[in-house]
Amino acid sequence: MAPLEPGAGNARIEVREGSGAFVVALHGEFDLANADELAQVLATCPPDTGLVIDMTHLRFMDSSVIAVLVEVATSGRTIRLRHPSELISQVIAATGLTELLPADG
Amino acid sequence: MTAPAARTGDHGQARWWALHRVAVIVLVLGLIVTVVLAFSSRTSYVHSERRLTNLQVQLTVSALGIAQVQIEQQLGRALDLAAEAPDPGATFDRLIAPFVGSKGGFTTAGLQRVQGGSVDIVAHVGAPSIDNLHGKAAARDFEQAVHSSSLVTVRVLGHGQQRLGYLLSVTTPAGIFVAGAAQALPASRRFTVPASSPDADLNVAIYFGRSTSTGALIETNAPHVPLTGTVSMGTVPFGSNFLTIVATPRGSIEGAWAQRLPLAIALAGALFTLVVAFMTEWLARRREAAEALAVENRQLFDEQRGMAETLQRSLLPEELPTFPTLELAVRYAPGVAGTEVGGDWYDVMAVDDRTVFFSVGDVSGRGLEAATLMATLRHTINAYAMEGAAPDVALTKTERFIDVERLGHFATVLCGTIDTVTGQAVLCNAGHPQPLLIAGGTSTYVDVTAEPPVGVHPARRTSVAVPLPEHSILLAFTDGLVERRGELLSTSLERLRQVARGDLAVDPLLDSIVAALVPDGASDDIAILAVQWHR
Repeated sequence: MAPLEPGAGNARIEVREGSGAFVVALHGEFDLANADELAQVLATCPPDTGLVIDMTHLRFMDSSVIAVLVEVATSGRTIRLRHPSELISQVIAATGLTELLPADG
Repeated sequence: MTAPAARTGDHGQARWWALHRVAVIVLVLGLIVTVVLAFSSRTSYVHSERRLTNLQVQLTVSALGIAQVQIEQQLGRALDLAAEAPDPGATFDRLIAPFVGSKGGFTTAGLQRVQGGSVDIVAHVGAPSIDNLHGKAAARDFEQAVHSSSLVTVRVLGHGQQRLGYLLSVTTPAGIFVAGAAQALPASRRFTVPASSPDADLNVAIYFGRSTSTGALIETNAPHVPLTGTVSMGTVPFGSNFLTIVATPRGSIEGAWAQRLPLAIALAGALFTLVVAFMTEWLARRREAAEALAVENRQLFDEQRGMAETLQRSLLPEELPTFPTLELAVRYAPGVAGTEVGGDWYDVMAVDDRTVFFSVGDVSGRGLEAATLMATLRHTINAYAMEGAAPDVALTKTERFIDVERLGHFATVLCGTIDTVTGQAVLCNAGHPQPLLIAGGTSTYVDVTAEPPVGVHPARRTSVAVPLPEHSILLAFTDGLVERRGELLSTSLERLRQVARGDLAVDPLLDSIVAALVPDGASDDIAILAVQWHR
């Protein structure tokens, strides 16, 4: 799948099919301005496959982006975070979402 | 609220003809420069024309001087040789003949001898008579010639003719010889100049004597005299008399283009000035319109922002309960980034005569939806708490009304009860920053682990009992107070901990925290609640 360009600045979403899961890679910074873009991309992924959110190149996300991930996670899909930075991990933990949005391996 | 659109309309329509000051300045300056340029060009042209005319007059004067010398030589040579010759008449005839008639410049010439009071005509060549020389005036001129050795010049009018006469005398032992010659001039007093001549561009009038009265006019190539316009004048001695030359340019010596240059400069300058002034006016109006639009946008922004803040504040509690053992202080500040209303809140209420229930929360996202959801949550939690539900139970029950999957929002909430008599607090944390406990000059975050936010429906929620030390302050806040984009949350929280460990009362404490952490306003909304318990 081709890279999708969200509206906000330098942020970028890449989607590729991994082994048994869709890998959604987030590049740059995500907030209220482009949370909807991410929601739309995640909605296009087939509902019966797992999702891996690759956060290797994610520099920042705010609560509106966490809300998008939580929304997907509470809909019954398995969602895992790959390589979240310390910055992201702290926010996830402080929001009590470590179990709902577990880090991958 | 005023109507910005009406103001703009007034402005755009009423004064379309009224120029901006800058355009008027450009117009006036441009016209002044144009006038100065055209005037100086005109002055320079006139000056140059006058100089050229003067030069031409000087040339004519020189030519006339040469002509006089020629006449004097021709007449003088014949006179001198004839006076010395044995037969003066024949010698004069022979020497003057080439200069008389169609070949020469004279129409007639003669030689007379004055001896012992009588005057004899010795020789006569050319046209029959110079008898006009015998009038009264002529006698005076003849006398003058007899007593002078230099050329006497006479202007003779009569018989429809105009002639210039020349008289020259020489004294010998045999008597005084007087040579005379006359030159016919056009009776019309008009002459033409060949187009190739340098004088072709000039109107010239030559007068006999120093006067330029019409009667003294010898000849001219101009249709009318006296000459007008850029007039140059020169006077040249002509024998015993003078010739006066008056000249003026016919058309333009420097050519038509030079003559029209000042006008061209004036027209082009005026046109250019008008165009520049018009463009300046146009730019000024555009800038004004843009400024008006910017002001309008600013007003709209401020209005929306004001509405958002008003709405937000209206959703927050108006009054805080009072207990003798509690000091309460709250702060709410909307984010400076946008106009949208946020979902942050604080609340404190009395459950009974010794227990208070408080909550601080943050609905994810912004906008009216987040704000109304915030109000719903706050009131629902309060309702359950009012019925005596423990904080964890109140949150769990409230969660029936909020589903992140359905609404797209979740809420982080820190809530709890405080027994105002014992200082015993019971806290429950749904994904919210831990509260800070400030006691005895130190501050520590209360270990009440964040469980998932409201809306995520976790399997269980836990309430934690925290005994508040006497005079300690419990500080609950939303993440807008500490959050910095790109900074570790632990770093942000540590900054707050450092700032908030003083020994201040609740109100000055909140003032100092806000001043230290968000001096210019936070990008996100902020809600803060400080509770101090005294025994």
